[in-house]
Amino acid sequence: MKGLISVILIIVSWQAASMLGWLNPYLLPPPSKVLYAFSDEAAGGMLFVHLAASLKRVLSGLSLAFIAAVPLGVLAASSAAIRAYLLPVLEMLRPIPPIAWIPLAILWFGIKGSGASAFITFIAAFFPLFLHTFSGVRHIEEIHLNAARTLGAGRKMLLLDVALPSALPFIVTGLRVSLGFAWMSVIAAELMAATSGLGYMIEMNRSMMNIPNVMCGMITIGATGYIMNDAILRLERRFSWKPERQEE
Amino acid sequence: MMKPIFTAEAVHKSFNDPKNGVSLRALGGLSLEIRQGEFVSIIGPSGSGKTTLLYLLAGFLRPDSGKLLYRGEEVRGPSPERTVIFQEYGLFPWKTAAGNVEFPLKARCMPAAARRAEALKYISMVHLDGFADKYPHQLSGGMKQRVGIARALACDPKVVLMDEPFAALDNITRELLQEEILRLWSGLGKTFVLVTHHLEEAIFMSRRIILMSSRPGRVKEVVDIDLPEPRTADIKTHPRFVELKSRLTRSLREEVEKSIAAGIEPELVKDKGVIRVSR
Repeated sequence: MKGLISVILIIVSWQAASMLGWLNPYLLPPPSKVLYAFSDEAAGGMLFVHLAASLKRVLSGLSLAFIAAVPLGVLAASSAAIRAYLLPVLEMLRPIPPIAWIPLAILWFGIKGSGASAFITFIAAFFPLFLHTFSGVRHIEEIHLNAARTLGAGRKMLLLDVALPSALPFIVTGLRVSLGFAWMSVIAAELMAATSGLGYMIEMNRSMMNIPNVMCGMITIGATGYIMNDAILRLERRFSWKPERQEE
Repeated sequence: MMKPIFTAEAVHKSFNDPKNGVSLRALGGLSLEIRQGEFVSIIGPSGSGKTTLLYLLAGFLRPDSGKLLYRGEEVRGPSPERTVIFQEYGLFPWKTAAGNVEFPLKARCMPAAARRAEALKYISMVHLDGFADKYPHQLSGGMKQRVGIARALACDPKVVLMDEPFAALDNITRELLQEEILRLWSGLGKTFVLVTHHLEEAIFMSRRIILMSSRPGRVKEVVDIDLPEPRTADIKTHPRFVELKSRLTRSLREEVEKSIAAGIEPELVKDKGVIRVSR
């Protein structure tokens, strides 16, 4: 609620500043122009086409990252040998920003279709998920492991009834961080390596100096990111077995 | 004479203190016998290796040297036959009370349909009817430990090992649970081993008390508790109870004084400290 007040306040003062001639409308167009660009993009349906294209890439990259990162994280956490082989490699790959993969992604997947941007999204989403799963499983309390073993748990139960549920709050947090990274990276990838998506829409409008439309794309990115984060925060609360914490 | 369920012969166990690299001798040549079906307590000063001994019996730890036999065979690892009730309960916070009690049943591959009914039976045994679907954080300390007891019994163990199970509870809850455990023990014919530093609790509950020396832990003496049966709360004023208590207090005191004289740092002897079990 208070957040909404700040947003309105910013928009009102921005509009006022523009009307008073304090802002160069060429460099920073007023909200009214951006709003007009919104209705224009929305009416043509292109806004939704681009949004859907970006979302699809994020979801496919994120799902692939989930499928790869969670089992690897569990494996690395439960075996010292796997840890020794895997961690140095991953720690070397991790500092490479997802966008630095774009040249290779274009080479491998081409610029048409979704392959290149989905791949970039996968790279962005993989590491937070892997690290959170890994540390979640590593943080299992000694007493829970001992209890499980003295109650007769075999390997399967140790994994499914102890390790995974114990790590679940970590994994969901990892998912949230990954989604944020993935969303940022998909836009960056689309600036260069796509012919659709919000990033592409921004880049196209930039080349035509349609700054209000560029901002329309930026705001859509921000709002969508906000909604996704909020949804996953709810998920986090739903899947956390920890006693209710005061959030914020 | 009942046959022993556990036999320990000259068991040694040391730990390395990672902070200063000092090796800590927890047990130094401990020998004992625990009989089938008895209620026995292990008592000793802090740092005498009581919890170490219990963890060896449970199979969480292995002796450095010496022999530790369970029904004539070497203890090689944890087993639901020798289950543990923990001081901090050790309940899985992501499972309900019933889910926790179902855990050992699931480990035995009991079909899901039968599990729930069986779990409710044990929950009812510890008087927690109506709390089956609560999560541990919704339960009081005493109730959590009741779940812990129900879960241990659901293993259908031959031995129940208890590591200071009442230490985190208030006095009234503690006494109620003590009586409850005794009732369960007398009805089930299982062996119960209780580790405690609470002398009155040990005398009240046990048929035998094994008193450990100061570190490195060894058996100092074994005392039969020949109090009238059944044990009720008013037994604590029985002359024989008072006599046993003062005798054991003296013996325990000697050991505590030895630990102090040996300059064993209180920080190092904290029994509550977690014993790291290698993964």
